[in-house]
Parts: sequence; structure tokens; C-alpha cells
Amino acid sequence: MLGSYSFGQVRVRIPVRRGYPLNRPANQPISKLEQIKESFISKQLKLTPRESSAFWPLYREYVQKLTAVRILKRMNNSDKSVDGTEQIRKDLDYESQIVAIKKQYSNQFLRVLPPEKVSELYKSERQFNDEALRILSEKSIRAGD
Amino acid sequence: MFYLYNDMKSDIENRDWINGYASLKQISPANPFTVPAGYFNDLEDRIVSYKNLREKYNGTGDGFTVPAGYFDELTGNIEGRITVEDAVNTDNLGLTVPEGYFDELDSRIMGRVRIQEALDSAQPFSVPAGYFEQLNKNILDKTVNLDKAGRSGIVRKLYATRAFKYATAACFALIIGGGILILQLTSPQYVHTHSFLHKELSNVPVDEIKSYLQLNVDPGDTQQTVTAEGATVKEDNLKKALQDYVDSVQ
Repeated sequence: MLGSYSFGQVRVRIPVRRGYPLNRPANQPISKLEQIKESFISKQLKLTPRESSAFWPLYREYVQKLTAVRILKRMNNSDKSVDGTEQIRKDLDYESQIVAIKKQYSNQFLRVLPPEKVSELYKSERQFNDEALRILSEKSIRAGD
Repeated sequence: MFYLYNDMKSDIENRDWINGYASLKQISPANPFTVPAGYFNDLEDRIVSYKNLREKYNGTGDGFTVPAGYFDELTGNIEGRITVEDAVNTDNLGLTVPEGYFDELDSRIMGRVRIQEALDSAQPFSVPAGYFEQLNKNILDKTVNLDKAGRSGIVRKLYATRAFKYATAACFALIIGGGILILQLTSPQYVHTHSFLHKELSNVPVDEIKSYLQLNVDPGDTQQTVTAEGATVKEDNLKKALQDYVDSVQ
């Protein structure tokens, strides 16, 4: 299953793997991990109903765009990618796109949330990712890897 | 004297002599001068007695004599006496009682008697009978004579019962166990493993977590977390999973 995203002049197809829908329609149920993340962020930010209704569509859009560019960046840096100036240019371009997306959505978040909650959003994302990494580490140890 | 009296009486009764005194005839013949009955019968005795008494007491003077210069000093003495009387004020010697004093005297005396009886019966400072007689001996027995007695008193060990030992051991075990439990409950590891995020993510399949990390985490962030927290994610496995992912996309 593939989704289509456009960033600047680059148009890529985004894969959807193992229950993590990147191109999820609005009425499509989200994965369990996604539910946990949104629940955690909601708990940390203590959003009001008005803030929540404005924030979550924006945030999901932000995550989708950011993830799409990261996938492209990884693909460009894979072993199968042809070495050369084109690969270097694309890598820098993807980095710029990531920064641009973060800036764009940072401003949009500030329109619907106070600055303290926007800061808390980034911290909560970091905490969630760290915890996910810890869980993966614990499960790897138990599995004997 | 008796004959003279009788002659006078007969002359008075016949009243012949009145002819010689014309002015007397104008006076009522009723005698206004009467004497008690028998007055003249003992008149002689009384006269004699009077005469004897007069003779007896006339020899010692008048009987009413005053010291020399008595009347000269009388005025000064009287004034002095008045002054002394005023100073002493014999009328107000302080021997007065309040009004109604004797009316309430009985009740006050009985009340005082009852109070005294109550105080006597509730004497807080009492000692046993013969206390002071044996006080010196008791003090000596407990001080200088103690060594002589050889200290033969019975010494009992407190807290020597078996039940007390078990209870003490149980208390120590409870305290130590409680301390360990509190340390465990407040340790960062316990707090982390019982956090909301840890419990929720523990139920997520590993593959799903891997996919999420590959798509949402920058390699730099992952490396920092692994290094800082000492997470034991094997780099080869993570790289292999990432390569599989990229291969599947292509």
C-alpha cells in the first residue's frame, strides 16, 4: 500500500507498513502505538476541548509530512542509492525540508496553543521516543538478542 | 413639866383668859395647830436623845471638813477631769459590734466549726503512724547499712520473656521490610516501570515499535538515547531492521 506526498519539487510514494498508516484518511482508525502517543501527548499538554479540536488535525498532518521526508532521506542514504553529487544534494535537500516543515508547523502550533504547550509538545515527543527505545531494548534483552 | 402642861390645858379649855385679848376673840376657836397623836408623850425622850447626840458629835467638830486649799484648786481639778474624760472618751471605747452581729453569730460559729472539722478530716499532709520514730533507722538502712545487708534483694530482668523477644524481632523485621518496600516504591526504576507510558508501550508488538522508531526518530536522537541511558539496543539488529525496511520500500 502506497501513499503520495509532495514536498516542493519532490513527489514520492510513501509506504504503509504493519499497521502504521502514514496516509491515513480521517475516518481510518489509527494504530495502537499512535493511540498511545496521542494519549500521552494529550495527557502532558492538558489540552482544552477547543485547543484539542484545533491541534490534533494539525499535528497529524505535521507528523505525516515529517515522516515522509525522513523516509526519502533514508532511502537516499541506503546502500542501493547511487553515490555521487546527486545523492549529497538530495540528502541536504531533505534535511532542509525537515527543518522547513518543523518551522512551518511550529508557527502553526503557536497559533492554536500557548508557547509553553508547544515546548511541552516537543519534549513529550522526545519522551515518547525515548520510552519506545527503552521498551525495544528491554524486549530485545528478554528475547536474548 | 407635866403639871405645867396640865395647867395650860385646863386654861385653854375654859377659855377665860381670852377675855383679856379682844383681838383673839376674832379668831376661830378651832385649833389649826395639831400634832400627831402621842407627840408630847415621847417628846421628852426625843429631846433627851437629841441632846445626847448633839453633845457626842459636837466634840469632833462639824464633820464636814475639806483639805486645805480644796476650793482653791477645785476649778482646776474639775477642768482637768473633764479634759481626761474627753481624751479617754469613755463613751466610745471600741467595744462595739456591727449591726445584727449577734443575730448571725450562731450561724457563723457553726459554719466555722464545720470548716475546721472538714480541714481536720482532709489533712493532706499525713504520715504513717510512727513514721518519724523510724525515719532515722530507715535512712541508715538504705544508705550506710546497705553494704552490710549484702544487697540481698532480688534482681529481676525486665523484658526477659520469650514473647517479648519475639515481638521485638517482629518489630525489627517489620521496620526493615517497610523501609525496603518504601525504597523500592520510590526508586526511579519502580516509578519508570509503573509509569503510564511504560505500561502502555509494553503491550505493543516489537515490530510496530521498530517501524515507528525507524520512521519517526532521527539517527542522532537514537544514538544519543542509547549512549546516555545505556540502552542495550544492538546496532546491528537495528541497522538490519532498517535495511529490511528500506528494501521493502524499494
